[in-house]
Amino acid sequence: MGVGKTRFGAFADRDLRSLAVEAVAAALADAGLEAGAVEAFYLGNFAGPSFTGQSHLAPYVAGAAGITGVPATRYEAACASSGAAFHAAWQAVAAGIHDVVVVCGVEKMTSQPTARVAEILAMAGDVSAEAHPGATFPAIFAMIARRHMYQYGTTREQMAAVAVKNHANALTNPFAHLKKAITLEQALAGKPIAEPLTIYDCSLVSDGAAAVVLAARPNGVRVLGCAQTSDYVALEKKADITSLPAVKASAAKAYQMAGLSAREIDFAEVHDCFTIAEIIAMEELGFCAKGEGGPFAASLAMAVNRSGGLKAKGHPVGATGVAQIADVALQIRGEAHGWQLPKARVGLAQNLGGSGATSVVTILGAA
Amino acid sequence: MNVYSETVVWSAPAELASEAPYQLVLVNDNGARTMGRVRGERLQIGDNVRLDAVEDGVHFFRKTS
Repeated sequence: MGVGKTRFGAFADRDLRSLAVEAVAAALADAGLEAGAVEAFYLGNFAGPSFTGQSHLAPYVAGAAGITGVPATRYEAACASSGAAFHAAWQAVAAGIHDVVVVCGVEKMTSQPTARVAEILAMAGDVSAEAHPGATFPAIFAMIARRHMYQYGTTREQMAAVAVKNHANALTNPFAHLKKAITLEQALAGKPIAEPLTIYDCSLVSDGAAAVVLAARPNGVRVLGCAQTSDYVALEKKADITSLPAVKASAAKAYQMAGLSAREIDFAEVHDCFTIAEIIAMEELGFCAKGEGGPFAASLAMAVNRSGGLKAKGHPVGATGVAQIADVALQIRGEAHGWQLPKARVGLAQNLGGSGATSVVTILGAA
Repeated sequence: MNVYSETVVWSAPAELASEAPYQLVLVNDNGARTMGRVRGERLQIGDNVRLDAVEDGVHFFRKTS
């Protein structure tokens, strides 16, 4: 597996295509391959047409990266767009259809004003049932958080501890968007966005791209398991909004493929679009029991989001899934320079779309 | 009908900016759930509510004693 990433951030002078091309070129160079070796191109992107006015993005990016004459398709699954693209690419390689493919995730978000960004992100929910009555994405996760607090006694302090940890982790990740240490007191006293969530519970609006080269012959890192599962888009259709059944189901399938249990995972990059999402991910991935995600996440017992997570590494939504996989691969290769974990043999990446309607879980190990 | 979950939205979409902060609720109603906004007193999980109005497809709920 070859990996390539741009730094995440707010880049007024960079467009979607230049970010994606930088990541693809870096991944090909890392794999020691030329663009001509690529047999298919998979692009994960949530809302390029809305953010940038450009559509037909997969061949648009591939061509600029020197990749032509192959299938080039964009995958859209909200914030799990590039997780879904990776899943499709992995299936094609595992099935023997292609030997060498490139998966790229990209989003260019900061060219729009904040209110318009929020409107575009709200399209990842059920627009008539959620955005129309006034539910932003933070509001949806705020309702999830309130119910989790009510049912399980999860606290504001536990959510804030997740934010403090992810901010601290990003300080040493050279690709991270935000390098700013925060205290528990600051996190608790943050500007309210949707109660009980403050600005410090919410991930960043970022520009960025990440790419991986997947090859039939593993090189350093191997995909041990990869599974994608869906659920209802609208929160009101879910029996228990404190659960993410798609995460649980995709994790179960990925563990089964890998022949591993949750206990055997050394570290994880999880989808902390909001701090409560990291807490619930701990439960659904089987790292702790249902309802114990708050104390478990706050205990820092497991290496989770060493990159800084979506909270501080940044969340260019379409890039996130592949960026997580690239970060897990770097750790397994021992090449996370400055932020290397001591124990990183088997790692898990969990990418979530919307409030849980798409989940992709990928488990990587040393080849 | 009662409140299953709630939030008070401070960072509102542009068209609702003048309403912020406003409360959103997810209401239990005979096994189904509906998302809507709150009129009157602020609500907590478990509070009983009634449908106050439906305007432009948006459900508005109000606390009942």
